[in-house]
Amino acid sequence: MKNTLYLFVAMIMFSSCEEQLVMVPEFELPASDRVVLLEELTGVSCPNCPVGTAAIDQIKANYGKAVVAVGIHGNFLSWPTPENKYDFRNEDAAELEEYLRPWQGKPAASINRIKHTDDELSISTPAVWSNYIDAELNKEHVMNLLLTTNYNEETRDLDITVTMIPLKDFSSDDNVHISVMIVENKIIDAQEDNSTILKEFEHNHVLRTMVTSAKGNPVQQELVENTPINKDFSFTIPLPEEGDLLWVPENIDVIAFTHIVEGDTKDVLQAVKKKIIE
Amino acid sequence: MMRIISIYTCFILGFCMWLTPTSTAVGQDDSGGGALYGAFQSNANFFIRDENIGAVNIPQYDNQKFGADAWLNLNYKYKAITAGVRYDMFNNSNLFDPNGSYTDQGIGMFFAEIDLGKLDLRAGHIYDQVGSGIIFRAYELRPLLWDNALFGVKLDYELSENWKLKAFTGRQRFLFGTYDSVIKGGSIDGYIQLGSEEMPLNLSPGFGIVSRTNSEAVTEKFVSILRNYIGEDRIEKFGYNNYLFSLYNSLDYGNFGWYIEGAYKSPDVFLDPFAELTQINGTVTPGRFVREAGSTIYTSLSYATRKIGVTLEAKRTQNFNFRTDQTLTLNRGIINFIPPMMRQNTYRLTSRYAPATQDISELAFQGDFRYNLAKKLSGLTNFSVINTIDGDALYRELYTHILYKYKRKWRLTAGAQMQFYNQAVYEGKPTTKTDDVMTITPFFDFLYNITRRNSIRVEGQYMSTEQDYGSWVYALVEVGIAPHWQFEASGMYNIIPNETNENIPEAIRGNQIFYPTLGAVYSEGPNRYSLRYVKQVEGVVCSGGVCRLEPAFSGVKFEVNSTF
Repeated sequence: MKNTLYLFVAMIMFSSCEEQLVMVPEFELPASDRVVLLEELTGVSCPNCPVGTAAIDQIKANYGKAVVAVGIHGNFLSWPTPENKYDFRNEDAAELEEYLRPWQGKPAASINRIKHTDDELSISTPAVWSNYIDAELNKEHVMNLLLTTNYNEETRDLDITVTMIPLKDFSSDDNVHISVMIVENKIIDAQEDNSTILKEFEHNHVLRTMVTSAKGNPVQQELVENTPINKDFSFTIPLPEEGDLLWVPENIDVIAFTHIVEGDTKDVLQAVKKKIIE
Repeated sequence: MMRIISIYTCFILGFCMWLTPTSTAVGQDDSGGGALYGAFQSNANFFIRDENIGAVNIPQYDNQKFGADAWLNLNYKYKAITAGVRYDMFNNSNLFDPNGSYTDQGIGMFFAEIDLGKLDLRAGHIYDQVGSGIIFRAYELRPLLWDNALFGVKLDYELSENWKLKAFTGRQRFLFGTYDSVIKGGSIDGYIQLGSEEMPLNLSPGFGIVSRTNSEAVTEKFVSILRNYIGEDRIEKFGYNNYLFSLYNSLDYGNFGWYIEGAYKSPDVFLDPFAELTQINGTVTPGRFVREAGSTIYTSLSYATRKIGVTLEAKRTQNFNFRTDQTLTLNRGIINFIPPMMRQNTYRLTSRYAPATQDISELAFQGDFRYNLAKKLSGLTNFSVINTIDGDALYRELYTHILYKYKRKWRLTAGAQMQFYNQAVYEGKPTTKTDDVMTITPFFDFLYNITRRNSIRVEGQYMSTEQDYGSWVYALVEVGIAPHWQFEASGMYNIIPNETNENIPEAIRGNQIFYPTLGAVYSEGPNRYSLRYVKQVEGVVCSGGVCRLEPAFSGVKFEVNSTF
C-alpha cells in the first residue's frame, strides 16, 4: 500500500511541475524578401467564406506586400446565389480547386502550395493561415521576380513580362514552372454569410482567368544564379457584357509566381503582383 | 524515418517468429508453442458518376473510377510475448477525405508486448483508454479512417490483486506518421468489495491524469497566430503543457449500477468556433482561439430485473476540446472520447440524423427503458435531449419499439421515432438557409424463418419531414440461405422532396430520386465476401459518436473480411 501512495504522489508531482509560460509578442513582420502566395478557395455560396475574407484583410494589413492573395471560385459552393449578378466560376479556378486538394472545406487557403503537417495542401481554418505565412517568410529566398505590364487602353491589349532572377541554380530537372493570373478587385455582388446574405459584398482578388495554363507553364531551361530570364505573355482584357461592372482595367491586377511541379511537390518559390493601371 | 522503424519492426517480428520452433501457422497450439492470428479486411469501390444524385466533382467519379482500402493484421503470441503488425493500403481512397482521393500504403501499426508477471510492457502503437475515455482514448474506427493510437510505450503494473497502475507516453499516430506533440499519462484503477456476501456492494474507483506537451512547432504556430490578436482578444501567455484529471467510480449493488466520472482540463488554448474575433479593420468574425479551462461530468444510473431495465444518463461538457495540436479541426488529432448521448440506431432512416458529440458546450440527458410485457412480447423506449449549456436546442429523440417473437417461426419489431436535429450546428450548414430538421419515422422489421436454413427479412420505414431532402420511404428484403448466402435488395426513395432547400445542389433539388442497393453476401467459416451495387444519398456517417458528412455515393462495393 505504501508503494501505491508513493506512485500516486509521484503522479501528482509529475503533473504539477511549474513551467515557464510562453509570452505572446506583438506582431512583427519577419524580415524577408520572399513574397508568399495565398490561394484562397472560396465561393459566393459558401457561408463561412466571409471569415476567410476577413482573415485575408487582416493578413494584408499586417504583412502588406509580403503576401499576394488570390480568390479561387472553383466548383464547390461557388455556384451563384439567387441574389448574385455575376458568376465568378471559370475553368482555371475549377482546375486549381482540384489541384490544391486535399482540403476539408471552404474557406481553405493554400500557402505557397506547401503541404502541412496534417497532410493538407489547403488549410480550412483561417485562424491559422498567418502561421504558415510566417513559416514561408522565414525560408530561404531563392528567386526574385519582377513584373512589367503594358496596357493599351484602346485595344485593351495587355503585355506582360516576368523577369526571373534566380538566387541559386535550378536545373531543368527541378521542373520550375511559371503561372500568370489575372485577378479583379472591387466587384460588388452578393455573398452568402452565416447569418444573412450580404448583397453588396466587395469581392477582391477574384481569379478571372489565367494567361498560362492553370497548373503553370514549364520554364524548360536551366536557371543560373543571378542570370535574369524574361518570359513574355499577352492577354486582351475582354469587354464586359452591357450593364456589367466587370473587367474594369483600373481594378485588374496581374499576379505571377514561379513554382515547382514535381510529383506531389508544388512549392511556390516567389510571387509578385502589379496593377495594370497604376 | 517511420518507414525505417516500421521495416525494422517487421524484421524483428519475423525474426521472433522464426526463433520459436514450435510456432503454428495459424491458431493456438496447445503444446505450448506460439500462435499466429489476425484479420484481413478490404473494400474495393467502383465509382459510377451520377449527376442526378450529386456523385460528381470528386476525382474518383471524374477520372479514377476505382478505389480500394485494405488492412491486414498479423499477431503472434509466444508465451509471455505478443507482437503484432498491421499493413494498411489506400489506393484512390475516399476514406481520408470523402471529397478527395488518398493513396498510400505501408505499416500502419505495430507493437510488441511482454508479460513480466506483475508488470506488462508494450511498445509501439497503443490502444487504450482512461476511465470512459473522457481524458484519453486511443482507438480505431475504420469507416472514418480514424486511428489515433499512441505511438510510444505503456506499462501496466499490478499493485495488488485489486489495484492496477497504468502509465504511458508517446505521440499520436496520424496516417503513416505521428504528430509532434508528446502525450503522457497514467491511471490507477481499483476494485473494492463491501457489504455482505449475499448482497455485495462493488466499487471500481479510478483516477487518471493525462498531459500533452506542445511541440516547438505547435508552440510557434500559436505564437504566430495569437500575435495577430488585438484588444480584448489578445492572449498574453500560454503554457507548453496541458493537464487533464479524471476521477471515476463504478458502483454495483444488487440490481443497481451507477457510474460517475468528473474530469477537469487545465487552461489551454483552443479554437472556439462560437467566440467572436475582432479583426484589425474592425470586422467581427466567428472563430477565435481562447485560453480557458474545461470540464466534463458524466453519469449513468441503471436498474435491471428480468422484467424491466432502466438506464438514465446525464452529461455536461464545457470547453473540453483536447487535441494533440489545438489548431487541428474536425476529426483530426482528437485525444479523448466523450460518450455520445443518443441511441445508436441501426435502421437506415432512423439513423439518418445522428448528433456528433459537442466538446465546447453540451448539456445532455438520455433515458432507456426496456420491458418484458409477456413471454413473447417486449418493448423499448428511449429518449435523448441535447442542448448547449446556454439552453439552445441541439437534438431531441423519442424512440420506441415493441418486439413480438412467435416461437422460432417469426419475429416482428415495430415502432416509431421522433427527432429534432439542429442541422446547421451538426453539419456546419448556414443558419440562413438551414431549418432544424423534425422527423417522424414509423418502421417495422419482420423476420420469417421459412425452414431451419432459409429465412426472409423485410424492413420498411417512412420518414416524414419537411426539411432537408424532404420525406423518404425505405424498404429492404433480405433472403438468408444458411450457412453461406444472403441476398438483399433495398431502395430509398425521396417520396416528397423538399423543393426549397438551397443547400441541395440546384440540379437535384426537388427531384424524386430512387437510391437502390442490390447485394449478395457469401460467408464461409471466418471469411465473408460481399458485393453490392449502391446508390446512397449524402448524409452524416457516425461511428462511436464520431461523425462526418459524407457525399452521395454511386457505384459498386466489394468487401472481404477474414479472421484467422
